[in-house]
Amino acid sequence: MGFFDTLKSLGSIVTKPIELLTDWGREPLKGREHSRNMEKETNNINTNAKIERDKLELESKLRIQEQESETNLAIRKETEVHRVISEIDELQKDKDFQRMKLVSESIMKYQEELTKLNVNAINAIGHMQLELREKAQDLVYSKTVRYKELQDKAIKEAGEDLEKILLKFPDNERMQDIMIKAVDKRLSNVIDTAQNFLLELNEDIKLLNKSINSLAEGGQKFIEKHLDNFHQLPNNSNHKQIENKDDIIDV
Amino acid sequence: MNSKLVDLLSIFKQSREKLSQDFLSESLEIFEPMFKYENDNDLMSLSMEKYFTGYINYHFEVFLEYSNIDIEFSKAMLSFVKTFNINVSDSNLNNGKELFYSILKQKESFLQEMITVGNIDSDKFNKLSYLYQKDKTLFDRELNSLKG
Repeated sequence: MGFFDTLKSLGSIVTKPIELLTDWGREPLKGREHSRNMEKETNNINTNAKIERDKLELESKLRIQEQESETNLAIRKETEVHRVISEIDELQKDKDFQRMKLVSESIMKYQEELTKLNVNAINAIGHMQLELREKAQDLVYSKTVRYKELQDKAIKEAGEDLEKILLKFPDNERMQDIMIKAVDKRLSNVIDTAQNFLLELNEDIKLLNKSINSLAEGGQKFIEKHLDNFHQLPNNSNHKQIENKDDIIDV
Repeated sequence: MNSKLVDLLSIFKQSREKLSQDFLSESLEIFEPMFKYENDNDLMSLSMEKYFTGYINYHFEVFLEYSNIDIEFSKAMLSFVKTFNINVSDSNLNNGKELFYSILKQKESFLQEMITVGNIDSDKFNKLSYLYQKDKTLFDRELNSLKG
């Protein structure tokens, strides 16, 4: 150990108490510093907590605002959709109304045409019916007259034949009977057959009259069918309308 | 208006041509009944009426070749059919001309049916007349051959 080391040791012996004194003197300063540090830390913590709280508050505010916006948007969206739908409904109603108007107009036009056609058809069909029935009646009448003439002729000739028989066989009753029976048979043949033929003719004419009548009975249907064609086809396609006429007449 | 009138006159001209052509070519529809029904006035007049109904309707067929003369044609046809004693009192034939055509067509077929019925009956009558005449002649022969 050298001199310097000894000096050093001596120095430390001297300085140690001084240091102790200084430390003692510094102690309040340290305590105050500590307090300041503590205070600082507390403040820091408080500040941080405040920041955190503010942050949370802001975040929650933002979330609320966001939710509100979303809700508002949803409401607005829904309202808008409703509005659009109701507008479409209105438009549809307008369109329906327009269509209804058109339909009713065409119905009125249809009825008007139907009335016009009715007048024409009733006149024409009615007149034709009468005319044809009259002709059928005339036909039956003239045929009946012809049959009647034949029957009259047969009766007249039978009378003449009977006279001849009586003249020829005045005393032969047996012969008279045979010949008279032959005349009778001939006469009844012609009368009965003529009668049957007249009945058959009447039946044929009855059937014909029935067809003529059914034209008028089915007149309405006939006109309606005609009108359907009238509406379906354009004005200049009369050709097709007339081509289909045989189908239209339903008698 | 003039072109409409020309069209209208053409329709009537074409129809008249058909009428004269039918006579010139001795159409069966006209000439056959003249001989067939020379002793049957009813069937003769029914046949004539049938032919003329067809002739009237022919105008409607020719009319199809023309357009835009609906009203003129209807008016003209109305006057025309009246000359054939066909009664259409409503002057508005315009909308009903197809209908009118159908009615006339139907009339033609009814007339034909009537002629057919008349024909069948004529055949029956002829047969009956012949059978009667046959019976009568045979009877006369028999009576004459017997001695009294």
